[in-house]
Amino acid sequence: MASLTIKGLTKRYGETAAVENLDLEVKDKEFVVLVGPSGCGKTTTLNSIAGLIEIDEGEIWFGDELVTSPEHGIFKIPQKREVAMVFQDYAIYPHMTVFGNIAFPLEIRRINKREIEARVKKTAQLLEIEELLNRKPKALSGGQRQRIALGRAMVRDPRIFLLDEPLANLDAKLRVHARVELKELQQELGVTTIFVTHDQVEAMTMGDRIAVMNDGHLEQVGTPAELYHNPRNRFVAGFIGSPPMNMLEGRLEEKNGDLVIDLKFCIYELPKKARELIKKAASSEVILGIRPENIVITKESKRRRPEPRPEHSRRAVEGNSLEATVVHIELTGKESNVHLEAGGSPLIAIRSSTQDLRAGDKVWLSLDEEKIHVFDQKSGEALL
Amino acid sequence: MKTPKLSRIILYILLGLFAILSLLPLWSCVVTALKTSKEVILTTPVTPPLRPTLAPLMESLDYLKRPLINSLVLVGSGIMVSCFFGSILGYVFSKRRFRGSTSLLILVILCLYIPPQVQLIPMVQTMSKMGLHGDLGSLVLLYMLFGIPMCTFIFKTLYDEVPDSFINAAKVDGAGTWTIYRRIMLPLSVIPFVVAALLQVTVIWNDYIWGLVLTVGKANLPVTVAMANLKGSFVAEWNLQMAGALWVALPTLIIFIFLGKYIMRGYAGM
Repeated sequence: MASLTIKGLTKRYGETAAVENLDLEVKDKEFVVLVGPSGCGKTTTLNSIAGLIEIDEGEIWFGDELVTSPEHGIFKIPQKREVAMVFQDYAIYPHMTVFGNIAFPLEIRRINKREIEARVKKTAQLLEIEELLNRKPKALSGGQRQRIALGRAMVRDPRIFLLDEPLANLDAKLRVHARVELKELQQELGVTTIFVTHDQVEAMTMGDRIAVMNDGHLEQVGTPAELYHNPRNRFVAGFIGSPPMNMLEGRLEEKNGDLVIDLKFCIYELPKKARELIKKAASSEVILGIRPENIVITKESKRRRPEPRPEHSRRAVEGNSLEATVVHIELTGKESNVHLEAGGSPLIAIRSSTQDLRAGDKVWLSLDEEKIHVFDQKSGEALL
Repeated sequence: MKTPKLSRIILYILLGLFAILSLLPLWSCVVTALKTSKEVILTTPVTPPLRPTLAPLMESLDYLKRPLINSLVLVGSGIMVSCFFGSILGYVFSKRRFRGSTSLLILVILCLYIPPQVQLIPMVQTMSKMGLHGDLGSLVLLYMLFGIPMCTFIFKTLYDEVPDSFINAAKVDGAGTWTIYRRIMLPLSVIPFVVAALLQVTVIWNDYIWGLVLTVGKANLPVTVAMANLKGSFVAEWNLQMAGALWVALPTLIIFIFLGKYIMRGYAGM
């Protein structure tokens, strides 16, 4: 068991950098999820930690042991790193029984037969696959294979667990179950774990902390709540959360002492407390972000002011609510996703009851002032 | 019952004709091998024998006994050595790439395209220098070495199908290169071994030119060369020749019938 520190990791393939200057610190016994769209460099990062690829720059530390540093000419081969890895395809050897697969890392270490048997049995018990031990993996289901791969990783008390999309090949129902189980197992074993996935739901539900990657860069590291409520930039805001955050392009302006965002089809007035924070904006081109659950749909417009000010009146705004049209209603179970269109931009709002709504209806949206986000359009950085 | 279409009937008639045409040599070979020398001269090669006899078959077998054993030795030793090295080289080229390994692989594969005619004289000279010329040993050595490029290529292409994650998982679990070969790759190599071995059998068994130039004396001849000697010096003894040809073709025929699909895999490089 060990902590993991990555400093300035850079890996290039020819001219293109798969990972660039990545810093990440993982505490002992922590469950960190590396999440990002495919091709963002998360698997490259994982393979660098395992020692399966050599990196171009940077350092990787396990606890206080430097395992990779091209600068100092240090590269510990994967065989000596004492990490365990679960691959996306599970890499279960078809010619060995389940027992043989789980025992493989122990046999390599020349541990005596009796102890191997005891440890494999114990692992199998923990994963509830005892009855499969003498079977060949050929006829086993995805879920069973996944457990065997986990078993092979667990059986030898590694310093770090590296999991490369281990749930991606399971069907939806099993995945939800496996998610909970895997998390429980990690807590029970208390092994530092790096979990790679492209599925933000997996990341949100499983990680103690999440590292969001995009295009070879680390965008933000934080707890699920931090990422959800305070995304540092537009990418993280859009990537975390399902359905994704609504984004409306606009222009930051000052009108009659009020800070507003001109959304072209209407003027959105920012709450008073936002004004100070947002003054640092370098450019006035911004993006207004709001999560679907923070939009309230009403059929009647809420008039905050009895007389709308003249410059506002030409726009479809009443008070601080936006006029929109219902495009489509999607029932997801307990709630519904209401797809809307406001001034040419698509929006999604979540609502528990949609009996009063129908496609084509004209509605009014009011945004929760506490929950709005503002991003710089050029840099994508969060301003609020 | 549906009446078959005219086009279909024509198709089957044509296919039948082609089948007869391609089986005609085999038929002629079999019937001639069952005839006496007199009947061979008096009848056409396709008419069945009036008084079938097994004498030509027995006589040719007696003559070919030693060459048949020679060829078996060549095939056996050739397969074992070239498959062994081919498997290791294939593993290295497929899963253990290094700087320059692709160019090296291309060089190895290019060896397959050097025609034997070009190599005849240098090879005879080399074997003479080694004191092996005329001996069966020269052929044993030659087939062992000449089989390696082909086997390397077959093993490499079939090993490419083994997921890299198998290798990576074993590495992370602590297995070194040799252990990975022995514990993971080798047990997964049944099909490449069968494919490579079968291709080598057909190549070595049917080869003629190397046996002709490198070996001397009946004790050293491979079966193909010995068979050619059956043709007789003054009179063409067709029945003996055909019987000999049957004996030579029999092993490969059996292999093709039962294991043909593996040979197809080898040629297709899949």
